[in-house]
Amino acid sequence: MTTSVPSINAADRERLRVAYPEVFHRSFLQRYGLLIGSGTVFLYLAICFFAFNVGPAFMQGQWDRASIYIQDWYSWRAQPRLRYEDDGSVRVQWSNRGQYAEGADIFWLQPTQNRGYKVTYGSDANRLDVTPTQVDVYVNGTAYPVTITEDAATAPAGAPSAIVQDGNKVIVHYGFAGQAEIRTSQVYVQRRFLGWANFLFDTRSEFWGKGWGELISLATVGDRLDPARANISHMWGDFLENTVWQHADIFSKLAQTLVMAFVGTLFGTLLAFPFAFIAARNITPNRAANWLMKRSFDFLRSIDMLIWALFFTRSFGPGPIPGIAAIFFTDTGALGKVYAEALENVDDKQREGVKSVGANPVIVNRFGVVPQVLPVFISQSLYFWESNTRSATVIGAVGAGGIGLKLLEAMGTNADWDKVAYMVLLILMVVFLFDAMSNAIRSRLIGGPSH
Amino acid sequence: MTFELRNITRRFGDRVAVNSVNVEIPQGQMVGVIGRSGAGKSTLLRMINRLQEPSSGSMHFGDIEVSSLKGASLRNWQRDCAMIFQQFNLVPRLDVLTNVMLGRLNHRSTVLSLLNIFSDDERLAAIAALERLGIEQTALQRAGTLSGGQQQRVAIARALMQAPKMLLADEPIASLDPLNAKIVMDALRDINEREGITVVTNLHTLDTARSYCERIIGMAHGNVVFDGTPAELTAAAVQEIYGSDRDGAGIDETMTSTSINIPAAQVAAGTQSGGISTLASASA
Amino acid sequence: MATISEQNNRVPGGGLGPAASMVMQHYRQQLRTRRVYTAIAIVVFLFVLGASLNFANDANSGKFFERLPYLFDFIKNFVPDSPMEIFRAMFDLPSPYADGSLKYNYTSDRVYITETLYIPHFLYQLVITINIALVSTIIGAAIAFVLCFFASTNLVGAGATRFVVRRIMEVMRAFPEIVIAGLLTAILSIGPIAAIIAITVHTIGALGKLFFEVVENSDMKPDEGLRAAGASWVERVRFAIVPQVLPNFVSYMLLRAEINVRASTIIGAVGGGGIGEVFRLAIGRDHAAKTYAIIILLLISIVAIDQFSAWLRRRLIGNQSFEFGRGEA
Repeated sequence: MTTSVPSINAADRERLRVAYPEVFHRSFLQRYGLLIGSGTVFLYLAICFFAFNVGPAFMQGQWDRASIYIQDWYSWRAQPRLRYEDDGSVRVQWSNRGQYAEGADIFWLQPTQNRGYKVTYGSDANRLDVTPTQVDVYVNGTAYPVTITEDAATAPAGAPSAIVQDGNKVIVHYGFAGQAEIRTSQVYVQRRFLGWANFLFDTRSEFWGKGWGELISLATVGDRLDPARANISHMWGDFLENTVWQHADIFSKLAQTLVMAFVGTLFGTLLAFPFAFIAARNITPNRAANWLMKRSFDFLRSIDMLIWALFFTRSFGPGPIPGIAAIFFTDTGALGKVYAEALENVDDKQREGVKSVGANPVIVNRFGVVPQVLPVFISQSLYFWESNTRSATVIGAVGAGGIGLKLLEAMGTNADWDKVAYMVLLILMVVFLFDAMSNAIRSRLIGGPSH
Repeated sequence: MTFELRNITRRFGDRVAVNSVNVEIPQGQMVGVIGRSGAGKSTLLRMINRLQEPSSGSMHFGDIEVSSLKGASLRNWQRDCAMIFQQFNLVPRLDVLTNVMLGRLNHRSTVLSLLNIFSDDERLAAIAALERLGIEQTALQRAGTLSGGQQQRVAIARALMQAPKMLLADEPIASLDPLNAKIVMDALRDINEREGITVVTNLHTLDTARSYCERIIGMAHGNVVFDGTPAELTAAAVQEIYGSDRDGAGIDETMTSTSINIPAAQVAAGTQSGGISTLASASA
Repeated sequence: MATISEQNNRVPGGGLGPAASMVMQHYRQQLRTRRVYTAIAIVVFLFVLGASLNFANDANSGKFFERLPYLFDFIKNFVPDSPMEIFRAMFDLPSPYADGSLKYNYTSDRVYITETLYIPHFLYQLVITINIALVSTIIGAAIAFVLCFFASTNLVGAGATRFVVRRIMEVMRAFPEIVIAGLLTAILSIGPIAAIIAITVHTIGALGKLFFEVVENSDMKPDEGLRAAGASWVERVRFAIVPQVLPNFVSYMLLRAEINVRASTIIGAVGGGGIGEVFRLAIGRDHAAKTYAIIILLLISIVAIDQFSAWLRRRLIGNQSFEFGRGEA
């Protein structure tokens, strides 16, 4: 089949052109509208690109740090310092994060016969043999002796690219497994493992270092470690009191955030409900009252949630109360507006029906209006509840407390990204759970998925 | 080139919608497919265009096995075998001219199409097609604002733009009033006679089939129960296609009729169809 | 006559036929169960509410009733020296109360364009905040636009593509914005880019969901028509789906722009820059005049943006309440 247009003879072409000029001479806007529109948007984005210094910011970004931070989300680092002692031995010094108990047997960090230490990165082919005068660096099975003097640690000539001389120290990279900095007084080791270290129990707990099978048997049939209480409650207590992961504190902060959203939305709903009847023109036939109510809603709504949050944090101190108050104030306005609009769209026939049996105005609204709007009201409030669960996190970070502030603190240290990941996971789970719950309630109320 | 259906069957779960149909249609025929609703007429047509896949059997157009085409060659077949629908299936928010030019989609570069850039030649062809169907004055209106009859003619114009070898019409006049029905059927006959394009149309009215089609295929419960000329369609054959009502009496042909007996309407229709023949200028 | 009045006074339900009294009995039983359930629900609800309030009060650093008087004290004491001070703070004019402290120093943050012409500091920050919101809305909507077609059952079926795209959208929607902003701040240092990316990610998720719901509700007849004409998938989406859904898309996008202005203010306060940060500093340092100046600026800009987008939306899709989108935020 040809791809040509059905052919038309020359005379007909002229005739058609003359007969339907508007088809062939489209207006400037019709021809170039799309082009100009998208051009404007691109121009705007380009201006913003330069105004916000996007290019330089990305160039100067600390991308090496980025990869470490991201790896911290799903893995952990043990960071011992192997210090050279004057007596020719090597001493291990741990950072305060303390992933290992005192005197624990660590498979990748073993003392050697000559009072040094052997650090393995995955296998014996990649390891460091540390002594105060010399560190033997093994990369893929080959040994490269790094000599250490008072002034400098020096890598041998012909070392592979994994071994880098950086001033008077030598840095060895083993990829994901970690790295080591060989300095004049110590070797700073970073050893990375998948997963979250000591997530269940910290090293002070009697359950620390036990495998899943052992834990389960202890929890169910094992002898009591502490005669005063059952193993399972002992475990739960140790889990919550985990000093590194602070489970109890995180749960409590998450609960604060959820309470903010729940109570704030609920109070907003309760207040907006009666006021919306005053704001609706068809329910309250008083123009002044309608106007006043609607403007109040607009005012509450238009003052940003941030402003309310900071204002109440200033007066009540950090915690869930300012969060509740901020959500309550904005949502009274927003819900009031939505409710009033729903009320103004009700079907008048039902009201007339109730009125016709001789009911008083309150009863007319109760039976002629509320049944119509209640599903819409509840469904709207549920939407707001969902969205406020997310907002409460951010509001918290500003100062109202809750999980938001906790997140901000964890991020501020730049060392607790695993904890950040944990909290994010908790938040995602809660948000999805609430989504599902409110969807279920909504579809029961309205019948079938709404929207 | 001959179009051929060999043992085409379509099942929906347990139900057999089309049961082992064997039909051969030579190029240039005007075929009417009749039967009660649910007899499998629509499914048959949709399978020919490959909007629905046959459960078994094969379709052939000349040397091409249509039923096994995939990807670009399938879309080429769909271009060669234009289809119009009972509900017109236009894009209501686009103007009529663009709707007609959408018939060219398979002929042209996707990038140009996506940017909505059409050439003057295509505009000329589109306006000529609209003119041929007598609705050129609506070219710049939104398709959704037109009446049913006008929309169906836009759909035919779009089909013409595809430069098809075959035109399928799935109940083209079921949603139209008698006058518009006549205009649409006349247009189909005109295309069939002038361009020699094969037309296969589903019809729910017997007299329309009799007066427009040179060949009638009757279907009942998914089976082809009649295949012949209108003259061969006897009362017995009609009874076999449509079954009989509870009293055992045969079906009254006038019950399915939409024929136009109003003199005024006939005059109007006459000028309209006259318009089609005199204004027709685009010839493939 | 006597029988009629007798019947009128009787509550319907007495002296009924066997079938009707059966129905009545069932109805009463149903009513009883419903009342029991309602009562249980109310009790549970009140308990949860009470526990929540108690917990909130305990967890707060200041107790509600103890601190309530301070609220009014705070409001009473938090007044500018004169109403004109607000105006001066807003436009960076020198203050007569200037004593060298930051509180009355309005002029040093001016952003000079030429020697004499300057943009007031707060206005400049407000412009940054609004631009952050606009840029993220545009980029987010563009990406959501592309993604939504792959999440619609009527276009890609119910297979793996739809599943993956939908899950990605859900995670993007629920992922806490401050974490993205915080991570990027740690990498790119403080600036608006972190805020832009954080809000963009959330916008993609939120708009993507609304978009694919619109696409799934669209009429598939035009699509069938184009399929029968041999159009490819992309062409069908472009010509059969996009014209139908575009007005709703634009409307949702405008609504999103409103929400994003608020979001960028808040993210700003957490460290993204812009008016939010300036506001947090002002209220934290008890700079009353500056605080009120920012509140007024924010109020005006939010009302203006709301009104403008409401007007545009009305023009696009008529007088339809679209507040549903707000809840989806």
